[in-house]
Amino acid sequence: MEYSRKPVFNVVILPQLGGARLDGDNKISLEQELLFAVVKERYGSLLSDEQLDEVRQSVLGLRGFTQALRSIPLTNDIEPFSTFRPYRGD
Amino acid sequence: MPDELLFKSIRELANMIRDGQVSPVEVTESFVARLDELGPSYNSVVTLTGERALETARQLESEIAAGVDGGILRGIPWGAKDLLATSGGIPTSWGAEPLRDQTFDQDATVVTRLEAAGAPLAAKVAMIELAGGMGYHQPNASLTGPPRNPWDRDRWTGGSSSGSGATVAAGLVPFAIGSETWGSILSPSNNCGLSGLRPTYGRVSRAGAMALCWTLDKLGPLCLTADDCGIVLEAIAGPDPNDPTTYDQEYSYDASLNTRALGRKFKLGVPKDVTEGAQDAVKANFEAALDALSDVADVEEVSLPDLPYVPIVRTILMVEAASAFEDFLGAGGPQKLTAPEDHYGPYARTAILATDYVRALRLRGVMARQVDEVMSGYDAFAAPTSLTTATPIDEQFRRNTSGPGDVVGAIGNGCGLPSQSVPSGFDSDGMPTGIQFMARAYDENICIALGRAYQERTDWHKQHPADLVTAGSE
Repeated sequence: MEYSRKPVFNVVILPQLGGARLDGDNKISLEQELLFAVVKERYGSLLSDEQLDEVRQSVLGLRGFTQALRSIPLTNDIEPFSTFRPYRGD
Repeated sequence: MPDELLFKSIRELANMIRDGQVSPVEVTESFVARLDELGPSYNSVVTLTGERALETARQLESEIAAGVDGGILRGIPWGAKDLLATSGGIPTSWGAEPLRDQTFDQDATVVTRLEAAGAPLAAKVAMIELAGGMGYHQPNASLTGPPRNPWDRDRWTGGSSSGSGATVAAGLVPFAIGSETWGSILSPSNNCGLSGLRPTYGRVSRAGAMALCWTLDKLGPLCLTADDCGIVLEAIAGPDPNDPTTYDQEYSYDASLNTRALGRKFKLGVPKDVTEGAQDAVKANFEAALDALSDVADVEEVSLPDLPYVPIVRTILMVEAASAFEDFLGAGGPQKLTAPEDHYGPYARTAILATDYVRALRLRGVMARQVDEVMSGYDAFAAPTSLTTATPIDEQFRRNTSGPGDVVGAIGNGCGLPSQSVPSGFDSDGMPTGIQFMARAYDENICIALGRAYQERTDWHKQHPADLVTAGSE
């Protein structure tokens, strides 16, 4: 089977980087725009332009949650609050 | 329906059946008829299961005639939120139009346990589509239409266990089972003036229930009294090999737990600023409720650890819901749902990074330990069940908020803690308010005891919509 490589992002955001370093809010906004681009690439064909705009607003709105979570330092020993147990069927 | 059956608690109905005043078949026929007649007025019923209920009731009568002992739920009809799987060709729609005809080969564990206890399944009751997991903003988000509140049909019931709230509040069933991922038992309990119990995560098997969020979903009862919640919980709780997250200890309802049994007053913590942003009536009724409990409970204000509770729990909910419905999303399923905002709502959640989700899971452990340390000094936290009464049926209830959000709900659901909500009065429009008692993990008996103590001192739970208090209103 022939493998055709498809660009992951079909957006105008990446050129906007222009090699510049982005910090703080701008960096996170860029991250959210990139994440929106992933959603658009994956599901864009299922959504209208108006719906995609709503999705974009929601993705941008996730920034506050992301910032809140990442603002709490976590040491290496703090594990996810869920337990994995190896399975043996007999 | 005979007036003597209407708005009776489970315990009262059970006594009537035990004393031979009424038979399980008579009780079941009465409630099925009322469901059939009034259910559509509230958009609260998806499927009537009257034949199945009567089959159970007739079998019970044979057992009674043969002298077989039965439990307290014998002959008490009930409604199942339509995310609980039912066999025998009875659809399980999950409240969603595209899944209207979905069927399962097996019953959910909760259904099996209640029928084994002798409770006839009278109806699959309405719910918000996919338990609200697509991010709905307004009540018209169900295949059965906007859920109407028995206290005012132009207000909504709360959700996502909307039909579980409406059917019990309208006296169509003595109790119903709902589910809560975040607020879906307590919200309809508040809006419909009911007693609702959110059990500890893992207390009740989720086997056969629609998964919205594997680590947050809980099943629990909506009833007329806190005492009834304990009765139902005992029947549905306990370990289940089909749900490996169930707690390995059996649950036994302690209906006698009170200050005399404790040998002291209850100690209640009230989280600081817990009424901030509440409607005046909610605030006033909450303060009056604490006053009403003053002979049995000491109250102290509590400062909570400074953690991002809402972002932690929302992140877990959004990612797990996106995963649980990933194939549905990929097939464009949301476009066929009822609420326009549900057509696109879930897609943004697929943009949350895995490291942020795992970070939320790690912070959840921090949250659980720190909250439990604070709660260990109290029997329970008390808080308004909701900061508002039921909003109009044509109005958005979810707006952008600049405040901290539902911190008590985030803590309770994120830490998997039990909470008993009971009605605490009304606002000036006659809409119910509620107070909740949230305890440490596995302390349902404490939550229920507090609800019971409050209901021994008030009669809010005995008040019902004026147009529904007599069978003659039908």
